Amino acid sequence: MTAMDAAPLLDLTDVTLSLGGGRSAARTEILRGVSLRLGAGETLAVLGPSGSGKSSLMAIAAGIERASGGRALLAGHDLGAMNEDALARLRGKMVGIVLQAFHLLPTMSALDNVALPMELAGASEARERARAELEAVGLGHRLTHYPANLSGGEQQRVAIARATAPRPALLLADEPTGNLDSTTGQRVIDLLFERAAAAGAGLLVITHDPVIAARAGRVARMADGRLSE
Amino acid sequence: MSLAWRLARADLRGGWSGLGLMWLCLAIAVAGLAAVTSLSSSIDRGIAANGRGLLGGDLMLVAAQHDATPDEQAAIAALGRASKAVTLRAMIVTPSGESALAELSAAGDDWPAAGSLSLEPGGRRPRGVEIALDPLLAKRLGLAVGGLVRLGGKTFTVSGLIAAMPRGGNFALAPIALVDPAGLAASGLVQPGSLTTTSYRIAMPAGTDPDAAGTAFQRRFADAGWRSVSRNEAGAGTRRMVDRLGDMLQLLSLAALAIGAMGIASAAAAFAATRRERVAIHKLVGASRSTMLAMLSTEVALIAGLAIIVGLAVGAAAPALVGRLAGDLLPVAPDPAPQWAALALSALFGALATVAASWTPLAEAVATRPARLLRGDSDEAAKVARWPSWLAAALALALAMASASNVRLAVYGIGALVALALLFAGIGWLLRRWAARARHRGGPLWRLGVAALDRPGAATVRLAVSLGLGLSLLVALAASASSLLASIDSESQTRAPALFLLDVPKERRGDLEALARRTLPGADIRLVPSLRGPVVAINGHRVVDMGAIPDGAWILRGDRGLTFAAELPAGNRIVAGQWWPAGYRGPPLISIDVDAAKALGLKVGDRMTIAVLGRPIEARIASLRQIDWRSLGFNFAIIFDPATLAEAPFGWMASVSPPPGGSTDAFERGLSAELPMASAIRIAEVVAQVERLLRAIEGAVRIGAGFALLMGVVVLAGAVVATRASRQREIVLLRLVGATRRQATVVQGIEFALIAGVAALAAAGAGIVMAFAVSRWLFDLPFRPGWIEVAAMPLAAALIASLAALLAAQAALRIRPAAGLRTL
Repeated sequence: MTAMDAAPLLDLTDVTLSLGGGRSAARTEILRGVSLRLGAGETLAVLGPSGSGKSSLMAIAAGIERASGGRALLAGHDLGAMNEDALARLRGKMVGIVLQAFHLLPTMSALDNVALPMELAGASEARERARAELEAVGLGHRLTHYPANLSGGEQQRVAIARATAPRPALLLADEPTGNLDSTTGQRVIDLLFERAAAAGAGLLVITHDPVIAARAGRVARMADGRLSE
Repeated sequence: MSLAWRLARADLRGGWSGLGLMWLCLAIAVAGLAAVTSLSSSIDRGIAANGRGLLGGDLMLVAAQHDATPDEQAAIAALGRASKAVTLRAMIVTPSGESALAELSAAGDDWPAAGSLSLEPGGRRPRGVEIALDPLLAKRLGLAVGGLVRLGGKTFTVSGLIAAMPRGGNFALAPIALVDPAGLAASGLVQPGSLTTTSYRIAMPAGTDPDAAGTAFQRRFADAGWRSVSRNEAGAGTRRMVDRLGDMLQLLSLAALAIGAMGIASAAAAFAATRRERVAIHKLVGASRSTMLAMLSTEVALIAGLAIIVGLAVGAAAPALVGRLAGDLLPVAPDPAPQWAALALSALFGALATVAASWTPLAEAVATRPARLLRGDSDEAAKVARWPSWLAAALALALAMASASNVRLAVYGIGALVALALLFAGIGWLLRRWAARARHRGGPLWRLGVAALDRPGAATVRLAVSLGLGLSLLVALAASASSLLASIDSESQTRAPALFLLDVPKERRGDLEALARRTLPGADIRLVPSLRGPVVAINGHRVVDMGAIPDGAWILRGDRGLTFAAELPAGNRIVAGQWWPAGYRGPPLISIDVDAAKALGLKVGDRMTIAVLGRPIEARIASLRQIDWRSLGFNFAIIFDPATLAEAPFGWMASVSPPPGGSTDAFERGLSAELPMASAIRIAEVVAQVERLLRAIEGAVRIGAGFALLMGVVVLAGAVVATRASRQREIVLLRLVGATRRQATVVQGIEFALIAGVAALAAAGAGIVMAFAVSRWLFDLPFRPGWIEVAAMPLAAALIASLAALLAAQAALRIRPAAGLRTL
């Protein structure tokens, strides 16, 4: 039985997204009927040029953007029917996110940053798990460092640890190497796939780099708001 | 159009970015300052413009307990057209026995020499056994025109209610009443030794100098103890009071401006942060540093100018508004015209505060190197000269001292404000240090809230100062005022007699004592001889030639109550020299208050000349006394030996303390029937009047301090708005990792509650210490503030400030994660 035979982890059906359309601006169609299924433990890369709608697709999958049309289910939960706080709680429990610009909280140490989602969700032994995850990404010696004192590669490793430490069912990564040099980027990608596998999470990587995409089990292409596999 | 102006206009099209907060802080602060200074100036101007009418002449010459001699009358007549009035305190008694004390003047048809007596419609000038009354007095006694009252031994008809009459522009101690000289004679109130004041108001020919004429008259008849008040000095008491209150309110407004400057600094920092990239772009395409400074300065000057104009408009309207709302409470109408000098001063303060608070962030933004910005190091501040900020602050301080009517008070006040600001800056710094250590402890929301106090660019120190300064002043004021009022209440209940009697004729002492025995058995009646007269010379040097009278030498101002005594009165202690021996019959001796002696540099053996009943008496100072002024009994700054004045036509002054639970009603009724020339002052009424006055002053000052606190809350809320970008970023990241909106709100709430709570706690402590110092060392009274109010005030302030800050953070809290993510 494959992962797709069971109920999919992420199930997007005919999702559309249009933004803008205020008094002065015309509405822009970002996604034009995207359907996508991702099973538990599966890896999927979405390739495409800038402005094709990749990041918006990820935002809908993470529950931080509401689809204009269609249906988005995460582990059977209808994301379109949930309010923002319910979505935040679901994210805390099930979703890990890695962004291009790291986006760590500057006032918190590496350990605090990684422990934060688990503490917010009321998880037990959050700090011990955060410490273990940071050691797993090779930052056991940087636990008390603040983001400003870490290199770009180190910051992204903290962001990966923050995303994977809660053992999410779904790991989303948006251009995770976009702000890194190629050697560091390669190490970060290795780590991302390794930690996703260790957590048993489904992984959706947004990228415009075919080399990174080739690491995934499946590759889909996004162009002009449409997805094709 | 200059390049800087064009660039500034184009730049402002991109949004005010923090300058809105600058506008708000400056407009509120300048409005408060301009209102206070305008009001004070308008009352001064109101007095100055109407001096002649308020005084009732160009010059008023006043003597205690005696009329002018023929020589003096001739000299007065030579000065111009004169009109005479005799003033004394008298009881107005209704047929039903109700009575009230009045300040009664007796004057003929030629009075006043200038200005006018105006009566309410339906009234006419009193003649013979007629009397005109203060409307307040008439209301209190339930009287109307045509009503009957007893004055001394005669019944008078109320002929009218007084709408206005010359009173020198000062607050009267008792409501006024007017009769004509025949009426006064008919009343029998004036007896030998009665505490009368005779005043001659003189309308002088145009072009003559009333000040010089008054001084010349005083010099010529120096021994008789004449006081002179010119039209330029009319309302001097009111002026002194308004100036003191104005100084205090100006200090509070300056405190509010200083707090506003914290907000301006936050606003300028937020504005500068958003302009760094634009400055870099301008520099990339060849703009010079000076062009950029001119551009940013023009933007700030434009916004500050708009704020100052709005603030000045409010200030300009204040005199007319207060005149309309509270005109009845003031002895003179404020001049409703804009007070240009006061407005210019407020504008200058506003401009200096803007420069002091905004120079450094602007200069740092201008100094940003394009290359650094492009490498993403734009947050690092460049080193810039800060002296313009310090210079502007120093100029503002110097201006504050120079513009105060009492420089010493201003120096102390500003010193205290600076010390308070430093204290709260220290507390803010400690809070930040604590946050840096404590942000690893506790739950995640607590840690985030604590960490925010130490985030880069956090305004923790500025906010501690802005909130703490206003609140500590408010707590100090509330605690000292409630303590003072509680002390007055308790002293008046436990130590004060119920009545003071004035003008009991010398030979009627026995009648008074008999009346007391009959109507108030068991009462404690104490009588002392009473006269009035001014000090006219010190060691042979005439007071009129002294020029400025030193601070604290109130003993030289106006007429003093005088007495003589064989024994040292209770509540007095000899601190230098010796009390005269029993049966002393030598040259005149006096004992004087040690504080008055210190102010004049007097010691035992020095000589003081006092005009008693128009006759100079030179006496040697035999002793200095420490007087317990808190004892609400008889306290005289000057006491003569008994032999010197025993033969003078004095009256008695008496204090009446009924036995516990005893009522003085029957005694007062008997007094008005048997000793109608005597006046009774009810201590409870005096205490109530003093309390009313204290509460009114406290109310005005409390508005000032509340204004400073409001400014602090505005600055806090403004600082939250100014840091919206970084807050929004943090909130979006929190929401991304699973925080609910409630959790994000709690994080913000913890940050605001910590800063407001610590500032409130410290302000409560500082305020209580200040109030304690004022009560114990300034007023020498026990410290018993209203603790509930003192505790509730900081609690409420902390709550309001936290809620205001949370409200200001709503925009950042409401942002949807996806929308926020796009702006990161």
